[in-house]
Amino acid sequence: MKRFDQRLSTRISESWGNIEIEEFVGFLLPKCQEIITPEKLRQKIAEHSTLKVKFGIDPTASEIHVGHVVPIMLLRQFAKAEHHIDFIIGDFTARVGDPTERDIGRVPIKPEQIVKNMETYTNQIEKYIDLQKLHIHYNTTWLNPMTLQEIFTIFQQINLSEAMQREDFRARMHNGQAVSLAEVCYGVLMGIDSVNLGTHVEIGGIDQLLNFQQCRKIMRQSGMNEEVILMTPILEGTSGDGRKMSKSYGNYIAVNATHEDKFGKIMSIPDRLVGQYFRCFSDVHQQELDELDAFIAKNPLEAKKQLATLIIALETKNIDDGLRERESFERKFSQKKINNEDCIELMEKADTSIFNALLESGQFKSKSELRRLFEQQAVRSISENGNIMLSPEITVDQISGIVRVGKRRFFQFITT
Amino acid sequence: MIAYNIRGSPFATPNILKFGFSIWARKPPKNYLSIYPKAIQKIRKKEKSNDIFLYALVDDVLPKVVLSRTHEEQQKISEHYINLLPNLGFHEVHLVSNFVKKTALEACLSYANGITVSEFWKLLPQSKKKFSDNLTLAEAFGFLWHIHVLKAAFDEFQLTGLLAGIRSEFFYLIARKLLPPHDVYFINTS
Repeated sequence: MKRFDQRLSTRISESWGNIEIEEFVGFLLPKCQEIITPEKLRQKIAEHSTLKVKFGIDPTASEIHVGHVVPIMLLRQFAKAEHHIDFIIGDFTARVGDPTERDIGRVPIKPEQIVKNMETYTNQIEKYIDLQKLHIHYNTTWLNPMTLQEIFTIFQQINLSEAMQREDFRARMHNGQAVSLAEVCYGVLMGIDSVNLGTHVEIGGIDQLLNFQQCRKIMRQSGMNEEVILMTPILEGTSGDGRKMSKSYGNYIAVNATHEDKFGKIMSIPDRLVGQYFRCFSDVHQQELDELDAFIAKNPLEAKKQLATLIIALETKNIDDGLRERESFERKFSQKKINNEDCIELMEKADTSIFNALLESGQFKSKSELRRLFEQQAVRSISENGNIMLSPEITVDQISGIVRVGKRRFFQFITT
Repeated sequence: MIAYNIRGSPFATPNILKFGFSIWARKPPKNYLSIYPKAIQKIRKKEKSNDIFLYALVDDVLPKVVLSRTHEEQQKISEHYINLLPNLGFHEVHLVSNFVKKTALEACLSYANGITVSEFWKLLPQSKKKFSDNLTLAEAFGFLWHIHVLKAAFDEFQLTGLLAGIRSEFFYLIARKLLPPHDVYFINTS
C-alpha cells in the first residue's frame, strides 16, 4: 500500500532555500486554480532571488475554517523557498468592505473589532505557517496619510464604467440591490497596497480575481510591472453538495476543532473531494498527481485516512499525532471498540431521563438539536447485546453499556 | 427665490441659525452669488429673527488638486472670494484649507459606504452623463470630498443648515443622510 501520508509529511518542515525554478513551480501548480500568468511567474522567479509575495486578509471574522487556510498553504510554500512574505492586514480596507461574493453591501467593521479579530486569526494560522516568516503590515499605514493629490492622481486613472463592469456588481444592480461607492473603490485600495509594497506575486482565492485585476491595473498605471497572481480554488465543504466551505452552510472544519473532530470530518467528505483536499493541504508535486489520483480512485477510504492523518500532522509537524488519531478512529468506527476514555462520563440520578441527562451535559446546541437526533434514531446504546435504539423517556438506570449519539459522540452514565 | 426647504427637526429650532453655503473656488466669484445673502434676508423675515447668519465655505483645496494649480495661483483666486463675499452680504467667509484638517481618504470612504452608485449617478448633470464612458473614480471622490467638507464645516462652525442652488438638489438630498440634522433651503438661481 502506498503511503502518501508518510511521503508528504516529510515535506512539512522542509526548507526549499535552493530549490530549482521548475521544481518549485511544480509544487505551486497543484494548489492553483489559475495563475496570471504562469510564464510571468517563471520569469519573476528567475529575475528575483527573493520575490516579494503579498497576501492580504480583511480581519472581518475571528474563527476561521480550513477553507480559509487554502491560500495560506500556498503562501507557506513561498515562505519555505525563503521569499519575502508581506502579510497585509486590511484594517483600512475592512472599514470599506470587500464586495466579493456579497449579495448585499457589507457593514464596515469597527477598529476595536479588527484588533480583536486579528489576534484570534493569527493564533489560528500559526498552526500552518511560521509567523516569524511574515512581514505583517496594516494598510492604514500607507492609506491613511495619503494626500488628496495622491488620491486624485490614482482615482483619475480609473474609469468608473470599467470599475463597475464586475459581474457581481452587475448582478446586484440587476437584482435591484445596492452597490456602494466604497465597494467600487475596494480594488483600487488593494492596488495601492501592491504599489506601496512593490509586490511581485499576489496570492488569494479565485473569488478575488476581479480585485486582483484592478491591482494589476493600478500597478501598470503607476509605471510598475504588474504583479503575478496565483489564485487558489475555493474549498468545497464537507457535505459534498457542491457548496463552498462555510460556517453558515454547516459544512466546515474549524481550525480550532479537536484532532478527533477534524479527523472525523475529513473522513466524512465524499471520495471525489479527496484529491482536491490533498492538493490544498499537502506539498504534492505536479508530477505526482497522476499517481496520487490513481491511488485515490483505487483506495478511496485508505486515501481519506491518509489525508486526515496528514492534516493533523501538518498542524503538529509530527506524523505520529496523525497516526495516533487514525488508530483511534479505526478502533472506534471500523472495529467498533469504544473505550472508556472515548466517552463523556455523566453522573445522574437513576430516574433521570436520558433526554434530560444528555441535554444537561452541555454537548448539544439546543433542545431541538437533541430532539432531532432522537427522531433520527441516532441515540443508541452499544453493548454486547447489540446496538439498540433509545427513546428519550428511558431512564439512565435502564441503560446498559455506552450510549452513542450521532456518529461520533459517546456517553457513559454513572447512577447516583 | 427660495424653491423649497426641508427642516432639520420638526421639534426644536435653535435660537441662532447658521447656514453654510459651499462654493468651489475654481474661477473668480461672480455677483450672482448675492442671491444667497438675499435668501437669508427672506429667511429672517419668515422666521421673524435677526439671528440668522450665512457662512461661505470656499473650497480652495479641490480646485488646486484637480486643476494642478500652484499654491500661489489658487491663493490669488481664493482672495477674490475673501474680498467679494462679505460685500455681497455673507456674514463669514472661510477657506476649506483652514478648517478641513483630517486626512481625506478614510473620511471620504466612510461616506462612500453610505452612498450607492445609483444615487451617485442620479446627481450627475446631464452633460456628464452623456460622456459617462469618460468618467473616472475621481469624479465620485470629488463628490465624497464635498460631503467631507460640509461635515467639517458643521463641526467647526456649528452650522444648523445649508443653502444650495436648486441645480445641486440631488447632491444635497443624498448628502443629507450623512450630515447632522439640518435645514436646507434650495434657491432658484436662474
